[in-house]
Amino acid sequence: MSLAAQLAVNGVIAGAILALVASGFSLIYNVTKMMHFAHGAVIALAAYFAHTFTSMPIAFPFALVLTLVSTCVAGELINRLVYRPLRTRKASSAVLLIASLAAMIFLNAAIITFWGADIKTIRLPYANASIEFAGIIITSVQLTIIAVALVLLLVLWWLMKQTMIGKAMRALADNKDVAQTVGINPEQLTTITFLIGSVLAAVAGILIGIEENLHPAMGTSLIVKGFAGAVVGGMLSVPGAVLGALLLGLAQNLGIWWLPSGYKDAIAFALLFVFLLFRPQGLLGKKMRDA
Amino acid sequence: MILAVLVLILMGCAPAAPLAEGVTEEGVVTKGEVKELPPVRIGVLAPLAGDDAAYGQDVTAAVSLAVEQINAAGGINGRTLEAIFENGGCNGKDATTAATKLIDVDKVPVIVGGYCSSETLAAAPLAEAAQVALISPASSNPAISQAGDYVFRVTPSDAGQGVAIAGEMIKRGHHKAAVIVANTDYTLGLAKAFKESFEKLGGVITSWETYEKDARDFRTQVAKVRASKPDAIYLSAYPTDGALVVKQIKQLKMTLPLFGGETFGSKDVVEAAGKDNLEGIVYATPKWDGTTPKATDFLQRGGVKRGAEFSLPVFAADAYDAVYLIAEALKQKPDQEPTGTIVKDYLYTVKEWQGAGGMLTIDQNGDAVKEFQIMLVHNGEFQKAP
Repeated sequence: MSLAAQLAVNGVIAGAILALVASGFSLIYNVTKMMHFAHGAVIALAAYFAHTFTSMPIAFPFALVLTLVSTCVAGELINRLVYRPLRTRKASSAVLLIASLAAMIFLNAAIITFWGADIKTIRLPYANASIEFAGIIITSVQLTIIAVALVLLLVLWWLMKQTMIGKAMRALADNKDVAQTVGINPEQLTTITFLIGSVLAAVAGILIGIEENLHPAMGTSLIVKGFAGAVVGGMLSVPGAVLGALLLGLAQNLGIWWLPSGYKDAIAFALLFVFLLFRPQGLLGKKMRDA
Repeated sequence: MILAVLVLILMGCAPAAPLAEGVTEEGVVTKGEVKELPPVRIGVLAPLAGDDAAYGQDVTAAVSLAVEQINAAGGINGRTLEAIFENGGCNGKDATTAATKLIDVDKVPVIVGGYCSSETLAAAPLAEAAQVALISPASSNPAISQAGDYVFRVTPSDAGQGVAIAGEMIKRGHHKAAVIVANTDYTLGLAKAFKESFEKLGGVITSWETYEKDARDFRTQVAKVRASKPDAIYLSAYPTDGALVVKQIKQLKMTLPLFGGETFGSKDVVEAAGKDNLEGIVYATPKWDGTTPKATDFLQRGGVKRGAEFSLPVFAADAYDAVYLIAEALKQKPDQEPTGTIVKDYLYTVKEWQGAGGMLTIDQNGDAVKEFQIMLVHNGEFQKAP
């Protein structure tokens, strides 16, 4: 019994990590209809910022605030310097997709240049204690990751459905021209979206960095699996992306109990494939209307 | 006599000077008084980007240092040595692209690399077909022994490492081992060598868990290992993932003795896993004395070039030695254009050659013959296991 419970907890931990990645990616996709794959690299960048600031002789919470601010600046810079010039030229989504991949590769290389390729860690000011409860073991950092992922699920749902910004975002996503006629400024809203996305990236970068250590290419593998989670959950639903990521993590960890452990990634992508075939709109997504 | 003049002229030139007018690619000296030859170019194939870029930086620093020293001492037969670095990405796909470029475009006679076994196994058939000598500083997969006549390594095959660590486990009274292994040529080769020796010695493998090298979540593999009730765990991993596996084993409050491959002898792993988590892990590594004059000199100068301590010093020293071996080989035939065959023929004759990486002998398979030693991590330091 405790073993099955431990596996379920392992799955939730893995899913929560993916949810941290998927939430920001999905938010940006929802509003701008753009696959921002560089989001993974922004998460990696946030982790490296956190590494640098927490190594400085300043209070830990202050270091986290600095990380948050720097990541927001970096995220918005990508929006301004890479995406906005392309948007004003009315670039197709394929061009934006390629630009986001280029930005990701550029950030990977920049991280190696500034921080080097050696493994880095984020040191916690307190011990990351393992907590044992009914035969299940979980660390305090892992508990935090799960809690943050659940809070994100609620906050993003509230943001999209209950606030003016969320309504404006949905209006923009639905029909850009009509949104503009009712007084929504698309560029301003895109900036706000990237800022919220960057905050999500910073939170993800800090937590994942503490849990999994840092290496320059971490963003790439994170975004591939985060993207799969977002598709399973429904690309057009931000809370769906969080839920999809949790489902993916759970399926991977429970699946390799019976299958050889080398099939872990295969399980994730088989699940993705099944969803694309039979429920392309994802768990919570609505069917896309024909354009 | 002519050679001496050439040396003198060349020493006055900047290294890698552009071809003067009238000098062809083959280095035939023609027009005018100035006589100069193009540099001898060697290829370097190592992971310069991605997860394993730290080892690429090790190799880059080691090779650059050797090239600089050789050029400062007069180069090779009056010609300067020049290294061309290409990214093998620690995988077969990138290594194939990189090796093809080095062989077909740069037309190098010899390549130092690959670093990871996947790189070397992918580049080997290309090098063999083009008669380019391939000298790996670090690839230890047993299959490389048979990968070709032009394929060498200055590090020993993992067949020996498997024997050493399996024997140590049995000696310490562990007869039931679980294996956690990354799904790569290097780590699988090592784990299979371990399994074979361990079973031959009467040991039982209780569980065999693999993972993809870029995975960061091993908790379920660890839970499966725990359920199989072994009395020791053998880890075959790269440093980045290996550190996390250890961390997650300890998070699940498992106290089983841990054994591992040579990658655990890395400061990076200590840093990433935390020295308390790594305390007492036993691993086998090619025998290397880092305190010989040659080794300390290399570590000191190389460390300056690297800008940090080497991630895996023994393999960096091997890369450094490889360049010196190439230089020595080409110096044997001062009157011939450098070819892979010259290097190949020379390497098969290397016996008890003293380098920064220790005493080197190359056998008929092109493998280095080196002993393994059993080490253990104590207080974040690496020491000989008692």
